[in-house]
Amino acid sequence: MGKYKHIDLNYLNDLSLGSKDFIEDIIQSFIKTTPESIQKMQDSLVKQDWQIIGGVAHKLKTSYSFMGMDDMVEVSKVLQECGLNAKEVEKIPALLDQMVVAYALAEAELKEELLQLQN
Amino acid sequence: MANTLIYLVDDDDLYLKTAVHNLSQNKSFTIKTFTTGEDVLKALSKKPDVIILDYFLDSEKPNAMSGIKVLQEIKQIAPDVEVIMLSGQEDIDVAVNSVKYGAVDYVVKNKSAFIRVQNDIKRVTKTKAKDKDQESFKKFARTMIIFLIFLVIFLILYLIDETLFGLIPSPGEAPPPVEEIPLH
Repeated sequence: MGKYKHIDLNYLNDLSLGSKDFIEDIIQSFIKTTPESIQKMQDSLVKQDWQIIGGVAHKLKTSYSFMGMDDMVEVSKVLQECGLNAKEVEKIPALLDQMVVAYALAEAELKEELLQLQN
Repeated sequence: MANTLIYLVDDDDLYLKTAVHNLSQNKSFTIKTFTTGEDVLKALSKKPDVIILDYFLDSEKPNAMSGIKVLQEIKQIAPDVEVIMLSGQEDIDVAVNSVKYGAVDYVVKNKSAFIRVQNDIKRVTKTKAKDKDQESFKKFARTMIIFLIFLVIFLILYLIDETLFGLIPSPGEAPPPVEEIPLH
């Protein structure tokens, strides 16, 4: 069982090769870019621009995998499929809601981790 | 070990940072990053050894060049530059397309991706060094052959010349009289 409930930083730790600065930088980038990406998908949902949703979801998969958010990797995969192929688009709103909640929970833990790294 | 110039092309900032962090552990690598295919094409004149190229460069910008299109352009402009294709998904079509258009490998962005990319780079640079050695040897061999041909021609001409001017007796001709030195 990891230290956190919604994130798992083992993979990021492996990638860091022992550099705390790197972990801090990646977490800060994730906190900055992920809400922008989610917002972009929500805007695209209104415009029914499925391709953009698929493309953004594709990119988010890697970011979520760095944070050990396996559930969100799977959600991103489904969003990518639905978006890029413009099929089963009725699933998209619920998946995006799920992502918003998961991100909020993860962000709290990531900020906690940042505080620990900075002390 | 010679320095290896690597271009890394991905529109995902987080992945770029992570890739640079991992690859730059190898001190013989010089890494330059690009977020679009258009930018990397402009920088080909610097002759990178390897380009690590994301397949899905047009994920958020449908008007941007796709990874496959960039790969095709690279191979047209600089066929000697080796390209390793990166993709976030395991897709046989992506892999087949990448290799079909000249990529040396197709790597999925999973936990072992950086190890595989580093192995690919080592393999590519080793092959390039071997090719360079072979090319140098061929050049040396060509020079030696030309030198030997000239040497043989020169010797033939020399012998003909000596024969014509009587310094060397022709076959059947009496040797020139030897001057007798009186003995004291």
